[in-house]
Amino acid sequence: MNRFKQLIFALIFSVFFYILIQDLFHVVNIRPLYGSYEKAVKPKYSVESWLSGNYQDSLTHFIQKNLYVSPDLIRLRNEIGFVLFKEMHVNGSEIGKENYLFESGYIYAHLGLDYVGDGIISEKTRKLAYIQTELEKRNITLLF
Amino acid sequence: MVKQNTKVRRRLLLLSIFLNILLLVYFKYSNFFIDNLNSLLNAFNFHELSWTKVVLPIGISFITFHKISFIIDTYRDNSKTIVSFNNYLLYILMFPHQIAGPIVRYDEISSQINDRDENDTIDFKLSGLFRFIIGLSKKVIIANPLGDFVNGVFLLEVDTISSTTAWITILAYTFQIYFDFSGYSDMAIGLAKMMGFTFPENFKSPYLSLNITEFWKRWHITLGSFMREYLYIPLGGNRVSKFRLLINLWIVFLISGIWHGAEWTFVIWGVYHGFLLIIDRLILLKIMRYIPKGFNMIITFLLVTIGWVFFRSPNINYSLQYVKKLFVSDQIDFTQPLQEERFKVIFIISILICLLPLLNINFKKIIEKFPIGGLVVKSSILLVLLLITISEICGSGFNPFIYFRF
Repeated sequence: MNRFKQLIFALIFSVFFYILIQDLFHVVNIRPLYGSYEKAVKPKYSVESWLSGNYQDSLTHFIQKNLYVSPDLIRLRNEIGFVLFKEMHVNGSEIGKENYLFESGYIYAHLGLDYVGDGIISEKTRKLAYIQTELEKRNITLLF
Repeated sequence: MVKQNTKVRRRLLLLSIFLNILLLVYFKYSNFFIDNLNSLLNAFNFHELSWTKVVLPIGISFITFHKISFIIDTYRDNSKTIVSFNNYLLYILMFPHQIAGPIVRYDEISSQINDRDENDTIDFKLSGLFRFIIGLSKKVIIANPLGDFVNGVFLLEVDTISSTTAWITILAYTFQIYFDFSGYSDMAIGLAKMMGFTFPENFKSPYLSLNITEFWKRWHITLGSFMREYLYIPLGGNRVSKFRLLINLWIVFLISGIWHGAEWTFVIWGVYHGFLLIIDRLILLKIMRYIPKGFNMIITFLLVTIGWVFFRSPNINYSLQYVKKLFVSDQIDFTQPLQEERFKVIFIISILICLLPLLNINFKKIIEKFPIGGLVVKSSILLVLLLITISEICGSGFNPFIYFRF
């Protein structure tokens, strides 16, 4: 029975070692995350940032977000959130029929809710026309 | 020698305690003192004092209490050999309990520092690991989602929230602080167990208390024990007149409130609980004997919940408006706070977990009947919880503990 308990202990504890070993040696290949997101940047150390506590917070955030296994853990978290609570962490999207995800922009466009107004359309068109003219002078054709 | 000179020992004791408290006061309360002084100066149109804010070292409140415990326990026991500096450092800097307790008195752990062979068993280590995972789950799976909701509501002006929202929010905070703090204590106890140490328990189903006196025997038990041993008893304890006893009780809770944080709201919270304890001693305990236990539990729970308004609020004005919101009903809106599925589910789960001890289910006996099967089921559940909590930690933002700021 003691052997069995030691095995259980080792098995559960190995979760921590798996994360550490993966981070150091990348034993198992992990698919990167898709989509656009802001990568956590390693903070620069300074005495001021250390005394204020900003350095420690930023470093903790950097380590958490840059663990090699972090994509798999994020996928696991998102899957659990979606299955149990219908939560979604994709920006600018909605959960539609049969649990398909739809980008909100297309929904608003279809419903005519994204109209920005004549003024802004004219302004943007004028700016694009100006850029097109300037590029034409440099023998670059811009189509829009 | 120092040991034989009682006067010198006493003076060194008082000097040590004074220096430790001075350090704590400087790091924890100087900003608060200066802010209040500047408010007073402003009120009389004087120039404010310029002051560079002091950063609070992590866990200083608990470290100070541990050092005071060491000094007093060593002073009280003449016969013990002088503790080695390594053992002293090990006791003070032991990381599991450094940030948010439990407050482990030196005499509770002194023998374990040198000899832990008795606890060097796989049962002890496994039980420690299980305890750690349970604590982590309490914090990440229950306390954090409740906290997200509570933080959102407390950012709003009080007059923009309905009474229903106010009640649900403060109830959510009541459970958040319990699962956050008890979760941390479980992690500390579990980690210590894995290293062969036995830490004292810090919580015993506090929300099932029948009165405030009992609540303080079940909530942050090690703080109560510390205050009783090193403050209440030196003030005279129960061996004084009734009036003096009540004053001592009130002083202990005033200091407990101040210890929790450098804000007037914590002082009010401490005073509030001190006042309730006095009322308990004077009359409530006698009256409650004639009231059914269920009602006693509900009344006590509500009194504690109202106290948490002061603990959580950013200032006194907000806390008073919030308490008024709880008792003066305005627009009733049942849907406003309960839009998130996760919050609804976690809120209900937290209530059920708090009520679970009432069922008196002896899980240990059940597992003993089926040793291998029981262990496999328990381990599987905890392994799944561990994976969920790790994925939550990596997938979400920074997760400070509530008591981390102490």
